[in-house]
Amino acid sequence: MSSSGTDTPCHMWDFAFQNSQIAIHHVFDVPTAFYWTDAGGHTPFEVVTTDTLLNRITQWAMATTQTLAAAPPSDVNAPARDTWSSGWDDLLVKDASSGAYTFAEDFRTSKFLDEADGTGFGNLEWNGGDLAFHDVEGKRVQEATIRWKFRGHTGGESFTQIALSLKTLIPLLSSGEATLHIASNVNGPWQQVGTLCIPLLELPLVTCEQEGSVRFQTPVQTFWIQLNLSGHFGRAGDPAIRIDDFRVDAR
Amino acid sequence: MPTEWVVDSYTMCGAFYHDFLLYRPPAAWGLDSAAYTGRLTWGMNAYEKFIRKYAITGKPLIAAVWTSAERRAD
Repeated sequence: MSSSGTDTPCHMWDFAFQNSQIAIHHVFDVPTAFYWTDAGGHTPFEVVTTDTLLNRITQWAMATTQTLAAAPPSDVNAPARDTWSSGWDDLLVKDASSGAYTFAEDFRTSKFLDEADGTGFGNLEWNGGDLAFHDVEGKRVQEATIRWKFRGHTGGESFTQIALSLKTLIPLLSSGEATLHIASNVNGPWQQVGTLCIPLLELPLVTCEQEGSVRFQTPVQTFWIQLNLSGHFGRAGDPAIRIDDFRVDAR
Repeated sequence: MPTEWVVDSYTMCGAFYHDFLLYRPPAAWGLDSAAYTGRLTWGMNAYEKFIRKYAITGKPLIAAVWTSAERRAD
């Protein structure tokens, strides 16, 4: 272990990684703190008069802090913030007893950010139990989409009958809407899955169990399901809609 | 964009060298805290996803840029 001498040529000292990290913080408006040290237990202010690596970090941190402090808030409409992608498709689980392939999302974790592609990130709020859609001031598009890609495990399985279910909870006076679409090609055409909505009045929410199914005319090995969320809040602080318990059954 | 200075002479293990580390803010600030020690080789995509998973909760968070002048053997 060396100290902070000038004998430390290293690819990182152009601060590219730190700057990339800060760029991500800026996208999401996350306050940033700077922490730096060296192996010798020196504070940065002990060595500011010498040409050391620690001194270079100090200068970079000071300059970066000034730049960040002057930076405007990030744009809620910026694609880097508003969209995300996953690349996952191995989401179906085979039920040994029925032979069906199933998928369940209870929104108790944020794995939907790993498993699905999405838009409208700024409209979404996840609380560890369900997922809420809020209309947000300043957003040009008040809609969110979550898109999952499904395929069989070996790539050889094919499916014709897809059944979907989703639980929605709409606060009284809010006007949220959740619609499910399915396609055998990511470029469409997308088919809205007919929903049989059974509203249950559970003050202060209207709970709705949506179900629907679609039959492909020819078997497909891969299919996509897209959930569209939109709407407006009724009372201040309420979301437009909450969703929970999304299930897919493919045969 | 808010920034804070966190300057400390405490020497951390070399394994954290230029990795990402989210600062654990003092409880008195009333902020949520989280730790992430993703290795550099995991890339920025993993870090972006990590930040996104906290951003979607709407809870306040402070992220730290931790930089060491320590030289690591590799």
